[in-house]
Parts: sequence; structure tokens; C-alpha cells
Amino acid sequence: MLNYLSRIVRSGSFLPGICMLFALQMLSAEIIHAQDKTVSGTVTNEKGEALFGVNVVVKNTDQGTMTDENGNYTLSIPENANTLVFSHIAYQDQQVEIGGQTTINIQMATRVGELSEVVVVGYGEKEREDVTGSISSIDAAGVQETPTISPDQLLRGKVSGVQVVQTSGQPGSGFQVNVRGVASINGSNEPLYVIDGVPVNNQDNSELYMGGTSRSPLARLNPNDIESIEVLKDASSAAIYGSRATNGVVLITTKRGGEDGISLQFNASTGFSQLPKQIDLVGTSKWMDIINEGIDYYNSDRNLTKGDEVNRLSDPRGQIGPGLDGYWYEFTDPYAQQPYNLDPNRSDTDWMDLVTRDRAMVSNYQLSASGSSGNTQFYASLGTSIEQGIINTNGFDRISGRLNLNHGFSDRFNMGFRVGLTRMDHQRVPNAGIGNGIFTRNLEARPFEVPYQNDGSYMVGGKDIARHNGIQVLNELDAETKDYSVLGTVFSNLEFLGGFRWHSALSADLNYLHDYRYRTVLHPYGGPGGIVVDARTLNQNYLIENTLTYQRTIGNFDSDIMVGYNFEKNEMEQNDIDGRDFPSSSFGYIASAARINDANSMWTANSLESIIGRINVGYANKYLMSFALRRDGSSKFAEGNKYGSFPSASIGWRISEENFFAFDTVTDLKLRASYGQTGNQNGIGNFAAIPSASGGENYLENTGIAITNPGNEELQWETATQYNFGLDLELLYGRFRLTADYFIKNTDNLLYNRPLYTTTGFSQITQNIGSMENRGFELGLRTFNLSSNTFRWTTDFNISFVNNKLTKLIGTEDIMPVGGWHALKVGEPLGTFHMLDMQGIYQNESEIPQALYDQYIRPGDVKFADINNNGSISAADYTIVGDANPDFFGGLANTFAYKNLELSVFLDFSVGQDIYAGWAQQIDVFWPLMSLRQEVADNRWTGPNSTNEYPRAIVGSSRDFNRQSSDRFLYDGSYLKVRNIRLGYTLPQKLSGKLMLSRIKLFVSAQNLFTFTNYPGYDPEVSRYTDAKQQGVDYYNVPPLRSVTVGMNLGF
Amino acid sequence: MKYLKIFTLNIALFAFLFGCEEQLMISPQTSIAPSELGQQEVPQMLNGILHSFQNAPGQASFIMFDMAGGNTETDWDEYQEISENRIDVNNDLVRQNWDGLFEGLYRTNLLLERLAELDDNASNSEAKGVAHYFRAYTYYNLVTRWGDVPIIKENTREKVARDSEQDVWAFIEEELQQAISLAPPASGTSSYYYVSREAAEALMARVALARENWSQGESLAEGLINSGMYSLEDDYSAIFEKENTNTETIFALRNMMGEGNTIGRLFVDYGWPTVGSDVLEAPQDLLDTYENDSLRYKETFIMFDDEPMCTKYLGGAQGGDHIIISRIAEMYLISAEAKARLMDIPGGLDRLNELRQQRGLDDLDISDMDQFMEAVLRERRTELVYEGFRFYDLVRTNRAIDEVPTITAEYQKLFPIPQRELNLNENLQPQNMGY
Repeated sequence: MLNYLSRIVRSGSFLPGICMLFALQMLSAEIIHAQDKTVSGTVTNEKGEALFGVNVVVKNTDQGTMTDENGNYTLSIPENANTLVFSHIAYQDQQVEIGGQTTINIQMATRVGELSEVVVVGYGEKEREDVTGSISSIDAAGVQETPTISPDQLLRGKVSGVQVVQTSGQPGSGFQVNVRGVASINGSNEPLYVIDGVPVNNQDNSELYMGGTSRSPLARLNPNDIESIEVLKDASSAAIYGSRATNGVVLITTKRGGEDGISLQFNASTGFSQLPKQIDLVGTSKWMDIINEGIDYYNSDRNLTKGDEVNRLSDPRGQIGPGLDGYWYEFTDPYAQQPYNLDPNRSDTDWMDLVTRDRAMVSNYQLSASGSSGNTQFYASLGTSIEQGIINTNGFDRISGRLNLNHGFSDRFNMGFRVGLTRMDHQRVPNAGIGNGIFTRNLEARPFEVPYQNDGSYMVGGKDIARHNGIQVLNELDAETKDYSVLGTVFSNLEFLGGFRWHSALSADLNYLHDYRYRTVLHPYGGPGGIVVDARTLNQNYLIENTLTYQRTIGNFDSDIMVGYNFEKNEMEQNDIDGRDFPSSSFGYIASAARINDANSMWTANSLESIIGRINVGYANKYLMSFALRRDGSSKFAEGNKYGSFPSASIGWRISEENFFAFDTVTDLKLRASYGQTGNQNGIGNFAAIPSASGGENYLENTGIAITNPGNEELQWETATQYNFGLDLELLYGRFRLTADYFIKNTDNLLYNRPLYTTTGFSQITQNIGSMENRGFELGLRTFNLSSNTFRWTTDFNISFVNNKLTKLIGTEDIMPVGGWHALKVGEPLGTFHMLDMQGIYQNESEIPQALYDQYIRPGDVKFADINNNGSISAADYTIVGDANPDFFGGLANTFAYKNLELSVFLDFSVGQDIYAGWAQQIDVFWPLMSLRQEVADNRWTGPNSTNEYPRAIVGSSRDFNRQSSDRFLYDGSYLKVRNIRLGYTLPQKLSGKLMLSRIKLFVSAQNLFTFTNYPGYDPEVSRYTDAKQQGVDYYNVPPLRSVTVGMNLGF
Repeated sequence: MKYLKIFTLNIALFAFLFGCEEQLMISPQTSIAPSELGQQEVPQMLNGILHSFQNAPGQASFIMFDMAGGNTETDWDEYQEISENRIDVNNDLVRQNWDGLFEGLYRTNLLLERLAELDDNASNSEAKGVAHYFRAYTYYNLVTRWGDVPIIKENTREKVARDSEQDVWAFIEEELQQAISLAPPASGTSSYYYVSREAAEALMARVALARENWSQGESLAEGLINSGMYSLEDDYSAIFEKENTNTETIFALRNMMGEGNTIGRLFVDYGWPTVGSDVLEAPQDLLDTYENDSLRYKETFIMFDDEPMCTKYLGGAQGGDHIIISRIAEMYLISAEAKARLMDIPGGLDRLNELRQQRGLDDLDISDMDQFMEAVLRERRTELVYEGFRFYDLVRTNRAIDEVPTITAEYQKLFPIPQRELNLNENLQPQNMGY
């Protein structure tokens, strides 16, 4: 499937494919049934234009036809037929009594909210047909039917140009969202999230380091409360958010009250999730055989012979190194001996099974009410979600409440507020890049090791067994992050002097975090008497916003002008205490700690002041233009560099409105072009520009100070200049809609915490260091393939191609390594992998250079490219071996509705990205301290020409040679995922009516059901680091889980 | 009309908000501008320097020469590379050592720059003495690890180039002369956590050995031995007990819990109350050196979980172990070696036997120079084990290849310049030969 997909895309045979689909639809409407009587007529829209493709069906039958290009239809109907149903996706259904008529002409009315779709833009709304930038909208329908914790999850696979990577399958963990590639090299490349007009904090301020298992701060918004999401992709749409818009803007609008009356909804769902796959590891006897094979090689490579047994080392973890005489003795079960005396015939331990749940439960309940009374509209909701993680004690729960209220005091003045309150409780476990990580250490645990000694005490990692004992780590740890948030805005709108509108809003995004972590005295890191870390963080973000809009239509000219002023301040206070030595593991509060090891408090803040202006002009609905300018001042920059201006302009031409345009089937055709600049200041510290001397550099409990931040007063705004060329095409009144965009985004003055030679006294300095380019093409397509009155089939498809590359780095054309596996280089994309290049396996001695032979490299060892041709292999031979960016990615959703039954199938894919399997560097390498992966064991090198893929089983320094960071552990991460399948059934009205309910819908949904990939790890959709420079690393991440839920939706 | 009020309010809000440019001036409340560092901050800057030298080079830096000198055994990657003298150019421990020394140097240079602008009163002049000591200490560490290194007398952002080893040694001597003349005299045992004139003399004596200035080494060491301020302890293990003071220490970094490093983590076993990671173990070859030295052996190693565990840093992951930079026993050994080199083997033997008696060992009777040097080096190995001496002792006496099985080539007598540093500053090229 994957190959097919990439083939059709690459071969360009894509469009013909779509056309075929289209022809099929036509055919399906041509089926004609036995007839008795003929009716004919013409169908037009409100403007009197002929409508093509309207379904005309005899009510309660499947007999029907479709109108032609001139809106004409002819239909044979049975004698007894009395009602005709006219339907079209873009228009409201109409039923007509036939009576004695043989000619029935119909005028259809536009379906509200479809063709004249309203799109939320920055500081306002616009009709879809008037949009000149690149904005994608997401339908939040179906959210209730899939377990969704965080709003960013909704973007996955749904929006062209937006790449979403789930960083971990732990509940409540974050997503990495890139809009049109990565545009900054410092820190995260997350878009700016604006919820009901409030730019929200998207930083995980938790003090607990749990090894790269981030929390999603956005989860404080219950996705069920979302009405719509808009993604502003190009600069002309996003520039109105100026200084923070470089990575795109995601506008989230929560639900508002309906028009009349009050409706109540109750939604409940429950289900479970599971690991999508297991990684097969070899059992004890095979493990021993293979490790001993490696030990044999070790001895024979060195011509060692067995000496005196007395020289054997007695490491409790087994024979993991050579003996005192240099000879490496055979590995035997160390636990069958003193002091452990375990049963030599015990069965193997499945460590992953011990620390994970077979089924992790998920459930969601939500009660909401919306409606209006008099001039007041409201939406209120209460929701709760509980998700267990796949790791035993991992869990997440959330309670959220929301009230959105708006009151119209008159036609000209209204006020309202929108407030959400949320409490999240995260039961956390260490994983991935932390020493006692659960997947990390338990996947590495050897099969003959056990968690408990015979006397019931723990086998301790590093002492008794090789790796941390996951059972011990989980049992002796209590780690929790509680998160209390208020997200609210109060606003007023006043209209005056015919066309003026004044909007004022005061908003707050408040967040209080309480981190607590207790490692008891029995925890591997809990010594000597237990350690409690208790940290509290208060984050306050206030925003004041005023805008004045003037709207006027003169003849064919439409115009609106907006000016505004914003001020925003973000403050964070944090304090933490580290208390140690508790009387016993039942004491968990610092009051009973013998000693305060460390206590800290800190404060930091930044502020942003903005003036904004925008003019939209349209002529006769054909020519559209928009200009915007934003000027931002940020506290992060030094005086003289504080302000940056971000202009943008866009134009649109609706060719289909021109008189000369004579294609009736093309109901809308619009060309768009835009240019704009946006800024970024996110990646840098609040005080990066100011050199500063800090305290805390103490000696003998006396205050010490030192310059800890070199500062850089020359820092200035990182700026992205973006060009966008787009096309919107609609055929047959919305039956087929296509949006295509090509963009070029150049980021200059890239902000970077540049590594510095430390002879300066510092290891890094924040600088504007270079430029980067993203070019891409993206396409979104929506078709209504079949639309009869009993069966509907719609398809949504999107695909994006983004090419990223660094175009300038100051001072150097050379490669700048980042971390151990990546590098920055001009001409290469961010996330470039830089390591040794494995060329295969040495098959015979003649191939091996002398220098390597002297290091005991032998046939069966890895052959690395000797880039500097010096005969040996070292870090100087690192070269570029791949990158973590996909060639293309996208999604495909099909929705089928038959009568009351609805089925939706959503696939997403990402092709061409490389993934570095950090875990394989541990368990694929024949290490006597580690487990061993089955596939590597089965396919290892066993003699000349046995394989060119996996080396021989070898221990000691040759093993270290073979396991050096190289593309041996780099895999193609392409995947196609059946992300979601939903099946829903709405009970007939008759039945629900009897239960006094307006609607009963039952549904079942499955997430991450299948993944098609060649990647040998749990899942190719991973990311250890949220930093784009180091993306594409799988280091024992918990994969996205496979889950199944059932539920119901009741309307009162 | 009420809308009019709201409207006015809106306008007022708007007007008020304009001109909040001063709201964009936010300064950190946990730090001050460097320009504000003045007279009042001198003691605090000194503390910042001590803090840096204690922490920034990394806990492994203090025993780097034990690792590279064959005193340790481990299967922890980067420690193993050093222990087996096959250091990768990307070794993080070596990099941290380099980076940390330059961090301390930056702070020291900054203090000297500030002091040059301040009054030359007594306390400022003492501060200068301390700063000169640390410059010498930095370069002694740098030159013995990396050979040619850039001499930075004033902080700079320039890409500096390397100076010759000769020049570096000359600079160290210059700095120590200044330190000896300016640093405050030691005042009793409680002051050995700060730099004193005596600390500078002790370091100068060590430098003299490296420079083969035997008479200078002898006179400095003898001066300290005869000063009456220091004496050999009866109980060897008392020197390393973190809670007690002792009569041997000339200068140590206090390394308090909460402000310091956890060097003990490297030695202490998981099962020990303070919990360590058990990174480094003593190789058999080291244990064998203690053949007739059972008292000191027992005080240096205790058997824990059937393995000898070093007792010099028992704080484990809890920390709090002080780190001795100079103590009087080293002066006895310096004096003994220097006397012998000045052809006074009997005099040297007296100093050596004095120390041995104190440690419960029999007197030696040696008249041959080679045998004497061997005895001094063995004594240095056991007496000063895990205090950061062994590797350079072997290098300066040209015995590294003979004594350490994993040192087989000349190039291994120096560490590689961290690759990161070479990548960022091409003026530091070329890499030390062989790496």
C-alpha cells in the first residue's frame, strides 16, 4: 500500500486516479429502474442558475436520477409514487408532492454553513470564499467518539502542511506539531495556539524530569468543547499574530450557544488500549549460546587459552568481562549459585509483561448543555476523562468544566465571557532517556533475571541484576503532577456610527502546577533515606486586547479596516524543596524529612506589546486584497532591538465570477497569492540578551556569584518571509473541492543557543546565526463520491511535500554536530543524521585494514566507511547518513453513511523519514549485560557471506566497535497507519422518542489498529526529543497504543 | 446611555495601555548586571570561583589521573575509555574537565580585571593572591593533561591558539610567585578550605617536581614540613572523614552537600547506606601494591559485598566528601624525591621512612637511585591513591609505558583536546598527535 501510494504520487498519475473516481460516481447515478410514468423539470439555485448533479429520488425508494449540466432531469416513477426528494450536498433537501404534475421545477436553497462556510481568522471571521491566505479548517465532529485527550491530537493527518508526531503513547503526553516544516532551530517549533482569542502557554513547566515523557499543556482544554479549529499556515493569515507566527497559528474556538431553546447532551465511552506489538527477545538458552559464541570469538581473536579457574571474576551479574588472566570464561547462570540459589530450572522472566498492563482502561464522560434564552446564549459542559497508561502505575485523569456566555444588551452592544476550569492529575513513570526508565531498562533485562530474591527482597539493578528492576522502580516511586488551570476571557463588542465595531477583551491563562515525587528508601535513587521533591509553579499570562473595525460596502466595493492594540505579560514563579531521609517509607511529607537538601525559588517574566492593522478590500466578489501590519515589542531583546514589524499582503482572484468564465461544472475557482513576514522569539530565554551575574554559586554556605550568562545585546527578532501561491477549485457546487498551495518560507536571523568554544568561559551563547528555507507543496481534496438519500460516501485526502534546508550558518560551512547523532550543515535539513556509515560486514580477513585488525576487528565485524582514509575508524569518520524529515505525509479519510449507520475510516501516512533506533544500540549488540533481540540473534553473521546486515556475536572491545553510532541503527520510518475506524448507529427517532430522548447514538471506535511499516521497533511514530535538530530518535518511547472504545451519545 | 459608559471605559483602557513601553523592560531578579560587580562583591566572586573549581570540571576530574594511571577498572563506557587509555575525542568526562577549568579561569580572570580597577587594600591584595593561585592551578591541570594549551590572561571571545608547554609552565611559576607573595597565610586547621600562601607553596613544590627544579621543590616542601602548621595524622582514615578536621590538609575543596559534587558515587557500592553507583573498582595490580601495607590498605579499602571499596569518599550519592588538593604527606614525598635527585639519598630516605613509620610500615634501606625512585613512586601510589596523582607521576618520570599495560604508545601520555572544542575553534588544531 505504502509503495503504491508513493508510486502514484511520484509518477504523477494521481490526477487521473481522481478523475476515475469521479467517473464512477457519475455512473452510479445512471442506474435507471423500471418505469411507469415520467416526470421532468429543471433545478436552479437562488440566483436562478442551473444546478448540475442534484439527486432526484422517489421518496422511500432507491429510484432516482441526477440533473444534467443544464439542471434538467427526467425520471420515470411508479404509478403510486407521491413524493420526490431533491438533494444536493450544497443545498437543503426539498420534498415535493407529485400529485398530477409531470413537470416539476425546483429552486433550491443553500445549505447554511457549507458553501458559505465561515472561517475564523486572526481577530475576526471571514467567509471561506473571501479568504486569500492559506487557512485550513478542521471539523471537530466525531471527537466524542474517539478517545482524545489533547486538541493538538485532532490535527493529525487532517490538515495538509501540518505534521503531527505523537512523542509518546503515555496518556496526556505531548504532540509535536510542525506547520509547513520546521522554521526555527532553537527549541520547539510548535505553532502558536490561540484559544478563543487568547494565545496560550504551551510550555510544559513541570519540574519532574521523567525521561522525555512530556506532558501536553494543551490538554487543559477538553477537546469535546471545541467547535472548530483553524490552522493559519501562510504569512498573510498568520502575520496578524506577528512575532510568534513563524511556526503557524492554530486558532481554536470553543462552542457557543445555539439559537433557540436548550439542548442537553450526554456522552459516555469506555474501552481499553494495548501495546500494538511486542519486541521479540531470545530466551535464556539461546541467549547463553550466543553470548558464549561471542566469548569464544573474543578468546580466539586474542589466542587466549583458559588459565586457572581461580582467576575468574565474581561479578554477581555474571561473567560480563574477561577474568584476571585475560581469558573470558564461559557465561553460566549466575543466579543458580550463591548467594541467590534460584531454581536453575526456573522459567524465563518476561520483564515487559511484568511492568505493563494487558489492558489499560480509558473512559470519557461528558455532559453539556447549550442554547439560548432571550438575548443570552450559553454553552456549559462538565467532562471527565480517565486513562490508564500501559505502564503499570501510569495514569492520567482530567475534570473540566466550561461556561461560555454571551448577552446582547441591544442590537449594538453585547458582552460575554468564556471560562474553562480544568484539573489534571498525572500519575507519572520514568521512561525513555532516564536511567531507571521502565521500557528502557525492562526491555534490556535478561530473561534469566528475576525481580525478587528468594527472601522476597528486590534484586537491585547494577548490584544483583544488570539493569534497573522495573518492579522496584514502580513500587517504590510516587510521582505525580497536578495541574490546575483557568483559561478565560471577558469581552465586549460595541457597534456604532454605522459600520464601526469596537471589541475589547481581557483574558487570563492561569496555571498552577504541583509536582511531587517520592522515591522511597528502597528506590534505586532513593538512598540513603528516601527523597521527596515537591515543586510548585504558578504561571500567569494576561492579555489585554482592543480592536476597532470599520466595515463599508460602496457599490461593488467591500472593505473592512481593523486596527488594534495588544499587551501581554507572562510571569512564572517556581519554588521547590528537596527533602531527604525519612523515618520509613510510610512518611511522604517533607515535615518528616531529616534534612532539606535543597530549596529554591525563582521568578521570570516576559512581555509583549503589539499594534496591529489590517485592510481587506474586495471588488465585486472577484478581486480580493488584504494588507496587514503588526508591530511587536518584546522584553526579551535589548533596547534598540526590542521592536520588529511584520507586514503582509495577499490577493485573490475568483476567476469563476468573471463573465468570460464559461465552465458550468466549475462552480468556484480562485487563485491566491500572498507574501508576508512573521517573527519568532520563542526559542530563547527571557533574559538571553542581558549578560548577568547570578547568585547561588556558593561555597561553604557563603553566597557566591558569577557571570553565568554571557548575554548578547545584539540579539534580534528571528524573521520568516513567506510566499504562498494557492488555488481553490470547486466543482459541481461542492461535490469536489480542491485546495492546492505552494509555499516558500525563508527564515533569517535564526536564533540559536550556539555552542561556544569554552576558552571563552561559556559553552554557549544565544545568537542570530543563519538562515533556513522550507519549500513545499500541499494539497487537500474533499469529494462527495455518492450522495443518495440513503447512502453517502465522502472522501477527504491531503498530502504535503516539505523540503527543509539550512541556507546559511554564520562563520562556517562546516558541519556542526548536535548531540551525539545529529548535525547542522548548510544545504542539509534540520534533523540530519551524522554518524558512521556502515557499509556491510567484513566477510574475510583480507578486507580488514591492519589498524583495525590490530584492534581485534575480524570477519563478522562491521565495515564502516573510512571517510578520512586514515585506515582507522573514529568520530572523524562521521558523515551524513540520512535525515528525519519525511518526503511526504498526509491522511485519507472515508466516511460512509447508510441510513442510520455511519462508518468512517481514517488512514494517515508519512514516507521517507529516517529513524534512529537508540534502543537497538543496546539490545541488538550481543552485550552480556543486555537482552538480545530475536531477529538479530537469528540472522547474525555466522561465517563468510552469511549476511551483510548483522555482525557476528562478539563481546568486549570489538562489540563496542560494532555498536558505535552508525546507520546500522538507522531505519526507514515510513508508515501507513489505520489511525481510526469509527462505526456509529443512530437509533430510529421512533425508538428514541419513546425513551423521551431526541437522539441515541451508539458507537464503537478503534485507534491505531494497524501500522504498515518496515521499522523493527514498536512504532515509527516517535520522538525522544521535541527539539527539531534532534528529531527522529526512538529511545524506548512508549508507542501510540492500539485502543478500542464503545460508547453512546444521548440527546435530550 | 450605559453603553456610552462602557464605550468610554474601552477608550480609557486603550489610551492607558498605549505607552506601556516601560513594561517591556523586565530585568531578572536572580541576577545583576556584570557592571555592578564592585568592592562589595569581591568575597562573593571568590566564592563563585571556589564553587566553579569544585564543580565545573566534574567529579571525575579529581581522579582522572588515577583512572588513566592504572588505578581503576570499570565497564562504564567513558570511565572505561580513560581507565584503558583509549580515550575517544568525544569523551564527555575529558570534555567536562576542559570546559570546567576554563569556566573557573574565566571567573578568576574577571576577578583580577575587577580588582585592577579597585583600591589596592590588604583584602584586595589577598584576593589577587588567591586568583593567581587558581590561574596556576588551572594551568597545572591543563598542561599535565593536554600539553600545549592557550594561555588566557584576559577573558576573550577570540578564537585563541595554543601556547607551548614551556610557556605554560613559565606562566604557572609566575602566577605561583604572585600567589605566594599575596595570598593570606593559613590560620589553623579550620582555614584549609580556602586558598592560603601555604597552598600556593605546596602547589609550587609540586610544579618544581614536574620542572625538575629539585632544590626549589625540596626547600618549599621542607619549609611546609618544618612550619609546625601541619603534621602527619596517626590515623590515616581520619584525613578523609568528611565531618572531622585533620592536621594534614593544606588545601581542600569542602564540597558540601547541596553545593558540591558527589564524587563518592563513583566508589561507593549500591548497597552502602549513602548509595553509590559503584563505577570504579581497584584493579588487582593496585591491591597487590599494598603487599606489606595492611594497615593503610585496611584504611583505604573496606570489604563490602566481597569487594574492596575505597573509603576516601564514602559520601556516595549523598555527597559531602571533601576533595584534598594538597596535604603534608605529599610534601614528605616531594622532599624525599627531591633530596634523592640532589644526590642526598639518605636524606630522602629519612623523609620517606618518616611517612612509612606513621603508616605502620617498616623502614626501607635503599642506596640505589633507581630502587629509591621506585620506592617513592610506589609510596606515592598507595599513599595518594584516588587523589589524582598516578598518571602524571608516571609520565613525568617516563615510566607510563612500563607501568600501565594499556599505555603502549607515546601519544597516550596526553589526553585528546575535546573534539567539540576543535570543531568550534580551528585555531586549536592540530589535535594532540595520535588521536
